[in-house]
Amino acid sequence: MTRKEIHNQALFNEARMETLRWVTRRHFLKDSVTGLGAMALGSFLTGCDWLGSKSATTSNVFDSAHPLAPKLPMFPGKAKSVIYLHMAGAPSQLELFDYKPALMKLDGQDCPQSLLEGKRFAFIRGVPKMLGPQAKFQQRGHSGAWVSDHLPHFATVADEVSFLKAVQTDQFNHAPAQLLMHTGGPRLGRPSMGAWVTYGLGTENSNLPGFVVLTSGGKFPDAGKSVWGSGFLPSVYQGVQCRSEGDPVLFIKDPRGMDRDLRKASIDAINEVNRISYEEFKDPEILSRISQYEMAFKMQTSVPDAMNINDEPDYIHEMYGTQPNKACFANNVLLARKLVEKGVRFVQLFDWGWDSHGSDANLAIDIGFINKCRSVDKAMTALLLDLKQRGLLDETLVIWGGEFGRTPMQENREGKPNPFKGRDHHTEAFTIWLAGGGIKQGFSFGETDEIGYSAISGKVSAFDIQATVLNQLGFDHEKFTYNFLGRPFRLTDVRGRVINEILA
Amino acid sequence: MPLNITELIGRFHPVLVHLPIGILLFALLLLWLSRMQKYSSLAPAVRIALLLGAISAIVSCISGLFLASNGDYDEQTVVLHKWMGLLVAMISSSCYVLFSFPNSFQGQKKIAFGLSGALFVMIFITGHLGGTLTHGEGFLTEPLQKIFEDSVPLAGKKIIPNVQEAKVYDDIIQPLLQNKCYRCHSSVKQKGGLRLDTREWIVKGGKDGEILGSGSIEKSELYKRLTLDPLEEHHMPPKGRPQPSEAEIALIHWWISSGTSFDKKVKDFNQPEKIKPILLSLQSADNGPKSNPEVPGTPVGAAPDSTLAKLRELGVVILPVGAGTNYLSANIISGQQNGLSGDQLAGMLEPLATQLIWLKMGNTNLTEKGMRSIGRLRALTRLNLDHTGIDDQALSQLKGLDSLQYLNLVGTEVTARGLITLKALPKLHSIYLYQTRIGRNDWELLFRAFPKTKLDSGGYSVPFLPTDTAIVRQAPAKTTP
Repeated sequence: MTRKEIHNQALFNEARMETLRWVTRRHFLKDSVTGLGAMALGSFLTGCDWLGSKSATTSNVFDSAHPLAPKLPMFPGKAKSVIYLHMAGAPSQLELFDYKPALMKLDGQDCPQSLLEGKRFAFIRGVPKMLGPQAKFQQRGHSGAWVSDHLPHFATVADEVSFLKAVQTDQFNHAPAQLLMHTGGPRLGRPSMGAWVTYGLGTENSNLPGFVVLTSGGKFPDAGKSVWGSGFLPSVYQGVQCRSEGDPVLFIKDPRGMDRDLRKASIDAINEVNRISYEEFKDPEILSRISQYEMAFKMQTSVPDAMNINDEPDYIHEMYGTQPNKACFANNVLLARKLVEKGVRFVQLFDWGWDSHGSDANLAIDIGFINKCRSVDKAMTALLLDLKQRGLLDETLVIWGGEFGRTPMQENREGKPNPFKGRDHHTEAFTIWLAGGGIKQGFSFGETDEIGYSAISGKVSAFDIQATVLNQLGFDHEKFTYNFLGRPFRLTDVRGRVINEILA
Repeated sequence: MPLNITELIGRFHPVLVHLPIGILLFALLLLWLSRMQKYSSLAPAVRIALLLGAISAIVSCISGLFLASNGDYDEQTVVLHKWMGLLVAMISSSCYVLFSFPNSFQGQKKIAFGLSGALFVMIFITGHLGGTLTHGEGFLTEPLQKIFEDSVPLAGKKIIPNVQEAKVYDDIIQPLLQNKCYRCHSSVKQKGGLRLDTREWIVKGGKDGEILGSGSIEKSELYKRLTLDPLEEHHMPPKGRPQPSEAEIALIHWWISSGTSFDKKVKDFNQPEKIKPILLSLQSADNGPKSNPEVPGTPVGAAPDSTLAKLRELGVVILPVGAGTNYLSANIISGQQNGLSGDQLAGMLEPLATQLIWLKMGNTNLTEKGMRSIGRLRALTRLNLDHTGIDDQALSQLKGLDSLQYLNLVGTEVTARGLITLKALPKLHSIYLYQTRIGRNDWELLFRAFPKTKLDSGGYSVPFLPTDTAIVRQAPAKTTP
């Protein structure tokens, strides 16, 4: 063979490989199964809407042409938007809200065998020592809620919130527990709460996404982007993560030689190409892509006004304790308030660094943990007060909590005491608080035993919290479904109960 | 308008479905009869009947798929009906194949007859689901239900005018038992040998003995069953049945622990603090957790579509507040109204005066003219006028909004004098007044003018504490708690 022939041969092979790469498993299955089988398969691959299917019986149907159009809820809800402050890593309830003087008496003693039998912990092995509360507590406000001195600002607004003192989970590792909290299942693949809400209600402000995610603490939540993913819902409903440092969205300013009109024209051309491929393949994910391009462009043009916290007056910055041009929780909280004000439905904040095992000083319950508390206290207090003075708190549901709690025992990794004081992951009882959006003020629900080990009354699960969030937004969590794999799916799977006790 | 051929084919579905039902049932009849010596001569007809049945089933499926994609049916039932229909088509085709080529493999006959039995059942289920789709849920069982419901009518929600004078059993406990327990424990059914519909039966208890614990709540089987974990098998009422609310369980607790009197009045009972608000709530129409006090209880006619369409085209987010109600919420998002001023938009809302209950006009250009239009929206319960620059004169236009409960005036030019013009509004429960022109000395006056309304002055601050930015690097020295 001559050189040229070899070259041609190689070129031909490459072309053939490229063509084959186009044929995915899905195409192969679709092409090879004909007749009745194909029909059945067609409903497995739900979504490819060849027949332009529509149904008017429920308002919650995916309209692929206008996936983010505002939609009405099932019944008039009391909340219009949600701000979820997730303290990733799981803060200790025993140093913040669940005051256990009896535990102090046991400090340093061996953990009784009855608490260890048949239990598994993430790190504790053998017989650990009990660890008394590492904070001073006081009762606050008219409600007399116990809040520790670690949160001096929040203590002044304790009368605004409802505490859930007996939240339980069945996952003792971060990633599955976070997934359970936000997607209703400990494994990957299910849509997050914010995605469900956006699917149900769309977005009010057509220039902004319905579901925005902001992170701080220097690290992503352990479960990764799946905690704000869209799972089996069309991907247009996934959380839009904004940058926490610098401009929230990239390319707000036009690059040199590339004016606004040219950028718009480029997006239009790309969308036209996408529209042609939609005509060809009828894959609704292409429509999602089109609307995401459009949204991205709208965000770039509307961002300076909607997503920039720099134009807030100084006293507001002081109130939240923001730090200019840094990625921090306070900046994110202030941005969250702005977004909700502009009509964003669901703002999800993750702040990493609450995993107080005691394995180093930053993760020590009496060192790093206090610093974490200080980094969020002012901002979360300011959020409640700022929403209140703007008349937004009664229609904005604010949730604060981690993915599980921490043990009343001191962690002894591999049977040896840790270098610093710390607590292991604990699933049987922890505290989450909710405020605004039709939630009772100055209320506490659920109790734990006298050392804070297990819940004794008012037990609630992640599903119950999810059911309550949906209820406040106007959805019956048992009827709010999406058809996938030939059956309807819900956020709360087959569980969940609205926590009526905390509803105003 | 072009002819939609799929839609046309779809509409033949209700006619076509009767073919597979008839032919397949006839085929099954032939099949089973031909097993008998006497009718064995029918055997050759089975094949052709199955073939025709299977073809008609496939045709029905295709037409059905078209109909489902074009029609408005209850989604859940459609999905189930679709799958059952596809199964009928597949099983009938398999039956045809299996009976056409007998003895191809071991046990074929057993499988074939098994499938034919399954087919028989599936046809009925599919047919029933189809019927449910066209005639509505419960069409078949309606006549039966009437008989059943006559025997166990639900006690209507009754408002007790003076709860202290009410009889505890007759007025409070009995209606509760009737609604939650009579279905299975009354003259209709006596599950567990238990009846709860007369005093004598309640005292007697079920087959395991008495249920009231002779006045001791710890021993009462009735109370124990109510408060068991709902996932527990012995929990009552069983899973899937309407469950009593927390308040209702508290009432039962109160009744049993106070000695289960059948004659005493509420005032003769000891009333612990916990039970007082529950008793009081029996005096008013309790709305349950799903009602929203900001939505009127009386239904209203639908708003004119043309008005809604016009507003939506202008970028106004206007929707019913929930499914099944015509009351509307409107949100005018700034920068999204194609250059129309707040006044113009407010004018366009006027035809919706009876339906519009929630209105957000924040950050728009509003003057007295627009406020006059808003003042005509008499159904409004929530109104956001924040950052609109309206003044006292404009605000006084809202005097007639009798239903108004929430008013947001943050960032406007209103003063105490203007606000006072609204003091007669009977339902107003909160007004937000952050960044308004209300003088520091006016608040006293305003609090007196609005005794029942929460006036939020805003201007909250979160003072700086040295600990906010201080970083802890060492564990604190051990102190005695």
